[in-house]
Amino acid sequence: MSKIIICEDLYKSYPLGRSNEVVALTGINLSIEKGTIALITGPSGSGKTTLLSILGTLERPTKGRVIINDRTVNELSDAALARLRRDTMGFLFQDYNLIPRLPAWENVTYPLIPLGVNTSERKKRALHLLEMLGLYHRHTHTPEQLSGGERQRLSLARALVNDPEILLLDEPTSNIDHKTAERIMQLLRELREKGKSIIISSHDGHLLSEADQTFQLSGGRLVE
Amino acid sequence: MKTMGILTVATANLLRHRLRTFVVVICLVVIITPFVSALALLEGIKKEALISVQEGADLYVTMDMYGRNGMIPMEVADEIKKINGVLKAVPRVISRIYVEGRLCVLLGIPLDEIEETVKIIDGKLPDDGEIVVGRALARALGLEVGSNLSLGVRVTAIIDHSPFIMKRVYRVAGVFDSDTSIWSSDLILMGIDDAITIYEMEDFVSDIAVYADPTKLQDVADAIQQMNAYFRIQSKSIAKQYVKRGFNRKGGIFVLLYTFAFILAIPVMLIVSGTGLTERKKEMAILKATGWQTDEVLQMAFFENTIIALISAPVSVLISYIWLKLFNGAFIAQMFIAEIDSIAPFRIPVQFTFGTLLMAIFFSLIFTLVGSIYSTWRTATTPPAEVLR
Ligand SMILES: Nc1ncnc2c1ncn2[C@@H]1O[C@H](COP(=O)(O)OP(=O)(O)OP(=O)(O)O)[C@@H](O)[C@H]1O
Ligand SMILES: [Mg+2]
Repeated sequence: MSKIIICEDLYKSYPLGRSNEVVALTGINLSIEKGTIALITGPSGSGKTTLLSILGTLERPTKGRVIINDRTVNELSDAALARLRRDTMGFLFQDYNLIPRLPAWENVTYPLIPLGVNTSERKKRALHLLEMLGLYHRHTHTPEQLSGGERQRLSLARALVNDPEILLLDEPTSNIDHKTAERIMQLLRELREKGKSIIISSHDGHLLSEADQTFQLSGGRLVE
Repeated sequence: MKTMGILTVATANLLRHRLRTFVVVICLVVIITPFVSALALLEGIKKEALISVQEGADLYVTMDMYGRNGMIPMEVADEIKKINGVLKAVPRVISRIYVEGRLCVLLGIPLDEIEETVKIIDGKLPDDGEIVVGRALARALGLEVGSNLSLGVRVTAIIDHSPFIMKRVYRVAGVFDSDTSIWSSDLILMGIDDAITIYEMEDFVSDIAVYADPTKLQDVADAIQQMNAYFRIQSKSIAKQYVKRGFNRKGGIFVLLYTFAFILAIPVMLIVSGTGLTERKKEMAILKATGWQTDEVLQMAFFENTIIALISAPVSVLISYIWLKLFNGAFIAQMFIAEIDSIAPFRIPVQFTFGTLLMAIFFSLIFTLVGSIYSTWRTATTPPAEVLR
């Protein structure tokens, strides 16, 4: 099986003032198989979000290499990274990051604009996804008018809209009841069948049974 | 298709950040309106000056009277006509009068000159006891051919410090059209003989307008001066310079003030565009995180600024138009036209062209761009996770 993502000796630290720094990740080595569901677990503050945003090219590591689809992304320009995200990635943020006061369906369609998809096609795809995630009846509502769980699903719909090869989901089920969570997991299993690679972070272990691969973080290190 | 999509997003952004859009537009309008007004006035004055200089005579001859312009005998005109190079010498009687609170100029010239000076669009040339008036004045006073107009033509005595004014009723024989608003919109014309009678000037006139062959102008001026040392001769170029000096000096002050205002406007625009900046930064980072390129985000910001400029500029032009046309440029015209107070007694010359609108759009765009380009560029080039934290 081929690897979709490989990390080699990854470090990430955030400068704090002049001489201080917070080390969020230390010496991460991991490889994720194509077409699988990978789970990254660990307690709060262990570095899950940091790792996911580096894998999603949303920030650069302080040290180490990230290889996505056989390309070393460290060497890519910002423009090339943006293209990579546009063409191959979908990201669900832990705090959703929806665009305020913009109707749900339009929030979903924004990643399609750089791809040059026309308005009616964009709307069609957005409504289809919202339907699948049980949000169709809320499609004209703005994020402010949605509950936490609804926003989470809206953010998931946006992550899915460009039909990405790699899905990075930061705590996708933290705010949802069991029935809805199960529905989402079913959807993710279907996507895996289609060959998509899915990387999920979660601080609790109840998704363990779903995962093909599991990585446990603790204090910024991988533990076996 | 992509560009259309980005344009849609830009429009949606402006609508979502309504307050910011509104404040930025207001600010721009405040900055751009005086600028547009100045442009329209300068254009108007330039055109006006050109027309009046073209229409005006080459030399004006008066008699020196204790250092002021004094009356000159009418028959001098006939003498001047004999000078080699003189095309025409027109005796004129000029007087300022108030008609229903409006300052007008009453001009008496020979009938055949009236015909040449103005274009009668309605009615005929005046006989004794008749006048012709400009279209604007006719409209303002509700006059038409055949109407009667009572003019307080002359102060005959001062009784208890109040002037005793002789009034006469004139019949409007015709209405004329003229492009020159400063000098002839509130012009009342009558035959010179009639004017001389009213003013009891016997055979004197206010001045003699001389038209000459341009190559012999200097010789003509010298010849007139030789006729009588007390003749005062003013040439067209002096009049032209005077017009120019009038608005260049005042225009200069305005340009100075305006440069100052422009410099002040930049930090204002920076602050104004800064409203809701954190939220906007976050939104741009979201777009970048979900696959937008830096140049697409910048394009979006550019569209936003263009739309803002396209709203602000016509609003500025409209306000300026109302200010200049309806309120006659109160408090701004004085900066450009010499010798008027805050409220001009005549219709100020204003010329709005397509270029005025283009300039307004251009400067609005410059200002919005100056106000937002740095923060937008910074945001669009920072890794999204850093902004989203
Ligand atoms: N921008 C930053 N500046 C300084 N420290 C940071 C920054 N971002 C993250 N950290 C630190 O890095 C560590 C890892 O953070 P991260 O958000 O990756 O944790 P997490 O595992 O996702 O936690 P949670 O389960 O609560 O979401 C934390 O100790 C955090 O304080
Ligand atoms: Mg996290």
